[in-house]
Amino acid sequence: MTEAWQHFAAALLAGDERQAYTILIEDTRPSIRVYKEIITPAMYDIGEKWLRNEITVADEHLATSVCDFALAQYTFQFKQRNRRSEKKAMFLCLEDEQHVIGSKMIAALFEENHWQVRHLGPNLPLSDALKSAEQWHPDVIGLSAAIPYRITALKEYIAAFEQLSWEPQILVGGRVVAMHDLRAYCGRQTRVIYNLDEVSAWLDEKTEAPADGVR
Amino acid sequence: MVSGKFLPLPYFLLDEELGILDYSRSASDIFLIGDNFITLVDEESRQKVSQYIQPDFSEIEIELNMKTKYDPLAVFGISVKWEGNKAHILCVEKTKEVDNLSGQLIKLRSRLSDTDFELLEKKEELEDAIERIHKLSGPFIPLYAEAGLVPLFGDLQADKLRVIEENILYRIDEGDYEQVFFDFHAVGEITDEGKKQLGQLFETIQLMGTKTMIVGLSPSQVRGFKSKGTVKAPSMASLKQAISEYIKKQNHK
Repeated sequence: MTEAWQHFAAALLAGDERQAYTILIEDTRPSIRVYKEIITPAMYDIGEKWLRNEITVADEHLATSVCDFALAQYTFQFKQRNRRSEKKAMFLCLEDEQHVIGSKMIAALFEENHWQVRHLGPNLPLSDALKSAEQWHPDVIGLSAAIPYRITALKEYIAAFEQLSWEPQILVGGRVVAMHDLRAYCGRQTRVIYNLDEVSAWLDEKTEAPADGVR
Repeated sequence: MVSGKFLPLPYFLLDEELGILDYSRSASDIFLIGDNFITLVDEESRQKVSQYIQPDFSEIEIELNMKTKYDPLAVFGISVKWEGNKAHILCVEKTKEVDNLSGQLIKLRSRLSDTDFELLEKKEELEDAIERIHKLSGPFIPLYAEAGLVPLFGDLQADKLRVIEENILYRIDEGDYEQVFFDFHAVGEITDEGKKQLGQLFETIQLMGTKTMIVGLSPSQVRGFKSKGTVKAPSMASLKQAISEYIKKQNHK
């Protein structure tokens, strides 16, 4: 049987954003499983196809864009009145990093949990990221990095965000965290996130925390 | 054999182990050349090199991420042709084209998210406007020190009543009112949920020690009012009559 993610990958490579979106929206699984079981394996598969010389870098970029489009449409249903929520989370990809899908899925999980969310997009220089953070004072800053040679830059970003006066929680994710042990770079405020389930568990923790009545 | 030295593109001549036997000047302009071709290739593309640059594929084109003097991750189109146990390799850089493409895609993406965001902003503006209209559909007007009037406007649904209720309860609590008139003259339809909500509102007000008087409720609107609060609230056909009776009573006191 062909899995949903295989249909999804095919739609992405065909540039068929309508089909891609339809596959996501018609799936009955909860959103986190749609991210984990359809989008993630499809994107990995597309990377593998490049390694197998079946597609070009240009195909990959197109597929990523279609995926981004479908994901944006899919997650639109969770964009509700979070404007008044006190919890704010900001997400970004490092400068020179275009791998945006993972952090968008995480941002969507936050939105679904009634956080105010801003995704600043791919390729964000540290100075711009800091400026946004200073203006908006997010409680959480999510950093995403996929390219191993950018690890020194990631270190700088983490160090800079840890200096912010209101001490936001910093989450670091992306492909590099599976390839390198980043914990040495991370201070008390920074947490490495290895997968979507961890994000979901972290969000549950945050949501349940005030229930003990001692806040 | 003609030397590739002056080819206008990066060119390599490799042995079976991918050792570099010869290269063009264009190659040394761009790459820091060592003994083996594999050192020029990004770690994550190396699997592709060992799989596809071998005599079994006598002629093949692949893409690789390569490390140049200027860019640690540059995309190259690689054309390979084997001649016995030697490979001729031409490298054509694609980074610029790929960057252009991804630049355009990013622009599209950000336009998409801007559109999303604008739509969302508009939606929220609209919701705010609706809430404002709801609030204005049931203002609380103090008539005398101890009596107030709430003229209701338009169709009454539960969500509208919830907004109105908040304001009314706050004002009653603040002002110590003895009686509140609810004027239904300007009301259209009342939904079933709306009727329930209204009943609860009357009940709450009565619990606060304030009398409720329903004015101008038409027979078609009355159907379906079952709650205690509504039943307990006396009603009159016209506001004029209701107010003048109230004044009469006050004067008798």
